[in-house]
Amino acid sequence: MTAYHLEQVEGRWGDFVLRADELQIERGKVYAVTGPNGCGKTSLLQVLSLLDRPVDGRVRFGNEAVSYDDRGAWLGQRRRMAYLMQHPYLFNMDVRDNIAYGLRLRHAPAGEVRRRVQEVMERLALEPFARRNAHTLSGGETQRVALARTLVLAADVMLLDEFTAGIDQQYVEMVEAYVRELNDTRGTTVVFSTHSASQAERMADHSLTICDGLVRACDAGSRR
Amino acid sequence: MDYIWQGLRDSLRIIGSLEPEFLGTVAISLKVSFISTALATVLGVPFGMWIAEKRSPGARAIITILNTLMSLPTVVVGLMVYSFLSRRGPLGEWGLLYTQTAMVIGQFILAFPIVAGLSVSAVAGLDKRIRTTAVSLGADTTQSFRMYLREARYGVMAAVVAGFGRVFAEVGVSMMLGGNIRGYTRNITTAMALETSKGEFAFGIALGVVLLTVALAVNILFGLFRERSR
Repeated sequence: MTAYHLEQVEGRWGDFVLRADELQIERGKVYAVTGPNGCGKTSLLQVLSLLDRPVDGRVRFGNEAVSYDDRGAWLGQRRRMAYLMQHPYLFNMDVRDNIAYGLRLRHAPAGEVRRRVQEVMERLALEPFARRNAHTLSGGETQRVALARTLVLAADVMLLDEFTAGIDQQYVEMVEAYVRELNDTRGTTVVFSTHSASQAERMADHSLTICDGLVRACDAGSRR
Repeated sequence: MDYIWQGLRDSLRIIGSLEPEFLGTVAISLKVSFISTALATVLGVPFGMWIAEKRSPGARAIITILNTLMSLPTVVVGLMVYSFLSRRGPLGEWGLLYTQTAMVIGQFILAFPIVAGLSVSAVAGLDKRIRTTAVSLGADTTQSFRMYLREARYGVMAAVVAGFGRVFAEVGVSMMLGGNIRGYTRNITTAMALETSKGEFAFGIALGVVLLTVALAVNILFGLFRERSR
């Protein structure tokens, strides 16, 4: 079962070109995207999140071709994934409402929203500032809230762009354990970018490296 | 000086007694200004937010024009609209001159550049990641726009309050387009001009107190919204 299948995909951002000749991402697996600064890790996640449309090639999500022109179908596919951006922005509201935002967009019942938000806040030790305005948080706290806002969606696919950047070491293990648990218990497909070779090794089943704008799959994962 | 003190004392009596004519004049002012500000808000806020996102020279020119129109003299607007609504004008047969509708049209023209122009400023100060973040969390176009509007809420509210303050205190448009008809188009500012010319300072001062109180409240609100938008 595949989560994504990219064929002859080419994305362009100004002079930068990202190519994936043949890339298959299996459902229920954890993938680490590695490579030097500016190699295109974020660009790849943007393509996988369906927010950026490649100029060429085919992208399949699950069993369906991604239909960028059919906004209804595109929205339906996007709502099956959750994407943490590299420099996340928190809305000018309290932490709890920030985390609940994506669930409310999906019209989840109020009771379920409360329960799921509470659960993710407990798991990521966010309860002490649940009612604080998100704009008053430190960088590390902001990152944890943004991560909570992504994880609470319990989406089929999680795309995490440097998800532990700026987080204190004591919380990194907590966050990694939660992501792994979601993968183990719910079969969530996880694709994350990282600069840390050790994190890639700890977390991933497979690695994707990007060299000269070309995405390659490797069998580097040693987690299991 | 005595007549001024006498006028002040009498004005307090008028305010305290809540005379029907006094209250009616205040009500007309509030009604016309609320309607014109509401129209300017409905059209000006989305327009300001839309134009703020454009990067073209045309958009920049429109923003410059909006900023210039913020200080449009009220008598110029009055004259312009008058020329359209007077019997000889292209819209003369609609019979709108010297009605509250004509006052609303004139005040709308005054408020629109302020609401739209300040909305541009409110949006220009927003973080560029707001819409992308909303979309990345599953928002559709409408939902992401609503979040964008929500993030700009204090700046937008300040724009609306500033627009209301402008039209509530103006006299040129109301006088030229409303005609100062007692009980129908006579509002606070036109009544003050009339009563002063008649030497009836007390009534004019009483209305002036209301005008100043509303202007003060508007400015306090404007300041609060500006503060919270930073």
